[in-house]
Amino acid sequence: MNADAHLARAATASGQCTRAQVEEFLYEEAALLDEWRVEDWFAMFAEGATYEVPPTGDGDELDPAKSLFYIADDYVRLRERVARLLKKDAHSEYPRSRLRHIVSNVRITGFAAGIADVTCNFITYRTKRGVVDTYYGQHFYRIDCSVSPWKIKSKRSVLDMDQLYAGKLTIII
Amino acid sequence: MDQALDLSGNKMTDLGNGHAVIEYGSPWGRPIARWVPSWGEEKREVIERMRKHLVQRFGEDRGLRMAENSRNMIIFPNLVINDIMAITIRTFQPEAADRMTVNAWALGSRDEDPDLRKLRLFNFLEFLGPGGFATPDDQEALENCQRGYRNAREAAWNDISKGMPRVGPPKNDDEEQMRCFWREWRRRMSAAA
Repeated sequence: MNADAHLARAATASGQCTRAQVEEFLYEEAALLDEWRVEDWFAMFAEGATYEVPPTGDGDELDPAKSLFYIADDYVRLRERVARLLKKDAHSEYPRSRLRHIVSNVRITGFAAGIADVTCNFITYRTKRGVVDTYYGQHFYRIDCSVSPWKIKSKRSVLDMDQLYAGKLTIII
Repeated sequence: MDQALDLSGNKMTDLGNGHAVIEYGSPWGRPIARWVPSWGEEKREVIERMRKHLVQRFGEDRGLRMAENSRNMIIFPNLVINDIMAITIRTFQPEAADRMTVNAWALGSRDEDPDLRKLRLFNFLEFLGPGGFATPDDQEALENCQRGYRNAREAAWNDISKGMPRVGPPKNDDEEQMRCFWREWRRRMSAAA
């Protein structure tokens, strides 16, 4: 199947949700994180949503009930994570690092009952005290497009590095 | 409960040769057998069962001590076993003056109940690991200490004197376990010289 046919099929499959809309949504998310507006970022999540970063080198099939993730937040803990990112005693992020989130290769891989499955590639740069940490990989989203504004039902960020070179994951990638 | 049983467990034991362990009562849940309300009522029964099982197997003193108390142990020079909100084993490999590789593992039991494994892993991530709510902040502090040591020519010491004036056995937060480490370090390094 050529690329155009794939795009056409994705557009049909996506129904009322276009890639341009999804991109706009993801760019807004990236901007909120770059600006450290983490409470607004949290508001993009649906109640009961999850946010996960599996360990490096193990793909996107892992289950946090069986494997040790870097981050496996339910909705309550994600709210705590966000609250913590705004505190002075979150020493690893106070003073705050500077972040730049790059999102590309956005694809709608499925759409049913108003819920879009979305993947995209990402690079997130974090700078602090002259050290640049680079995190890159693929985000997997389930986005509820049947509500306004749209809400993220789950986000899983799968890292492509073979090690967590920074040794820590103190930001939202 | 046995009146003689002291669960405050606030102490430090010098294990010799630079090894040491601190032990203390802790407010957090421990998947081995200490239930806390934030886990929900549905987990309470199975945790209670494990607690009773520990007491049956090891007696009340040791069983409850295993369930209630947390322990942080250093095996000289670079192995740490933390039995806290989960059990984590860490090794430290210095690779350069400004680079240290830390490996960490989570310890679980064989044939673990799937629900308990889920709880244990969830509890681990609350505080521990590169994305936890505590480990990265400790790491930040250590990295900042390391930055400070660049001034070693002007200030060639590291203050770990907390609790030194105490009369009687050291408490868990007296930093005596760190002095155990450094005494052994000095002994070995002087011998080598």
